Amino acid sequence: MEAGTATVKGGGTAAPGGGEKRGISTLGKVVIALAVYFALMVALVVIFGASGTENEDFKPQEEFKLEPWIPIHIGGIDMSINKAVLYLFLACGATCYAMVYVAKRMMTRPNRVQTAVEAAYDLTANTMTRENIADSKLAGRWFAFIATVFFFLWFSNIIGFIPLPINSAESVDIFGIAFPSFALYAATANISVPLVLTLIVWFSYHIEGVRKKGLFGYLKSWVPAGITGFTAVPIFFIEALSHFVRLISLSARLFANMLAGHLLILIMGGGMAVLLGLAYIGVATLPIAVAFYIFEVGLVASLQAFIFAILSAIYLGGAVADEH
Amino acid sequence: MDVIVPIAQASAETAGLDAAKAIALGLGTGFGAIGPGIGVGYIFGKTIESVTRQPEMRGEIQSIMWLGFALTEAIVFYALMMSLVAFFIA
Repeated sequence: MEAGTATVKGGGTAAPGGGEKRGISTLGKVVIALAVYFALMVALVVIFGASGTENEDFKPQEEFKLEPWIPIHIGGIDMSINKAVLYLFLACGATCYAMVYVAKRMMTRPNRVQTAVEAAYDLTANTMTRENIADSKLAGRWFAFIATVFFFLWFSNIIGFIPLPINSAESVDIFGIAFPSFALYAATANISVPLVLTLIVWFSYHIEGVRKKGLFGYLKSWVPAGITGFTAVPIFFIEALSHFVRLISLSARLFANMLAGHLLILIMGGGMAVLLGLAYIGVATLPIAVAFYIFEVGLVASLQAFIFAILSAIYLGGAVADEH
Repeated sequence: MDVIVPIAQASAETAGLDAAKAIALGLGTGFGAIGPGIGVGYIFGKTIESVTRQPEMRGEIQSIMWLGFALTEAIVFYALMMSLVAFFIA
């Protein structure tokens, strides 16, 4: 058929020298894989039909619903233990364990763990903190905070991409016991966690600025140097507004990145096929989900933790800098 | 997140408001992706330009590049968030 002819042609072009003995060239393999892939889609259309069936039982979007596992209500405030709390505790535990492990294993003769630890220290201490906070005493004081924020966010982002049995809305029976099904969820994909971290950073840098320059000196330092007189008034209000926008941008960047990543993986990795009831769409979207998963784990999870920590350092450094 | 079901079902019988909200979500996210798309391309293009001009500055340029990339890329998510607000709250 078509795949066969393409194989012969591909063998001629891709490997003109010694391609005869292998039989199938790389191009031929790709063509065959694609043909099998489309055949699978066609087969699914033939078996299940091209019209979707209405899905009522399984709701993939329940993955983001916070089910109260242990209900705690204190004075009208819902403080129930749910899966976001579990993820926070997991990230806290992982951060503490990693830091203590690293501190105990400090050694002069470098091995692989030591090299990774030194790279992480260099990243947090030098690239993030000391390059952005000019005052070395202040940098030493805030290095611990910035490094902790970085490692905590990194761990909670990475744990968010490990499937864990936390989807209690859907259960699987194993030997008569109902286990919650596996799902992806991240504490940082919930707005409250990044927002509280952002509030800590926001108040910290304002307090540091006021401590360094005094209240009026700090407010005066918002206006760029060289602008005097009446023009400073609108500039001051714009700068004040930009400080409030930082609250939204710093928290929403992390939250929306993680949420959008999880949503994309969920929709592409089967959510769309389940909701529309079309089996062949799942075949087409699954590779996209795998690609997004690799992209999210390899780049976005680390990059967002890095960005959050380095922006915290930049804000702290900017608040105590001598000139705007 | 009840995002997907209403989009999928915003066809004939539940047309009207649901369809308008789905359109708002789609258009908001889509138009919001134009600017960051241009910006991210610009950042990587300029990085390539700078690295070819001064290869010894590669490490420093790349660290700034990732900062700029993440700051620019986040804008599409602000658009997505506002679209979700339009979808759920408006």
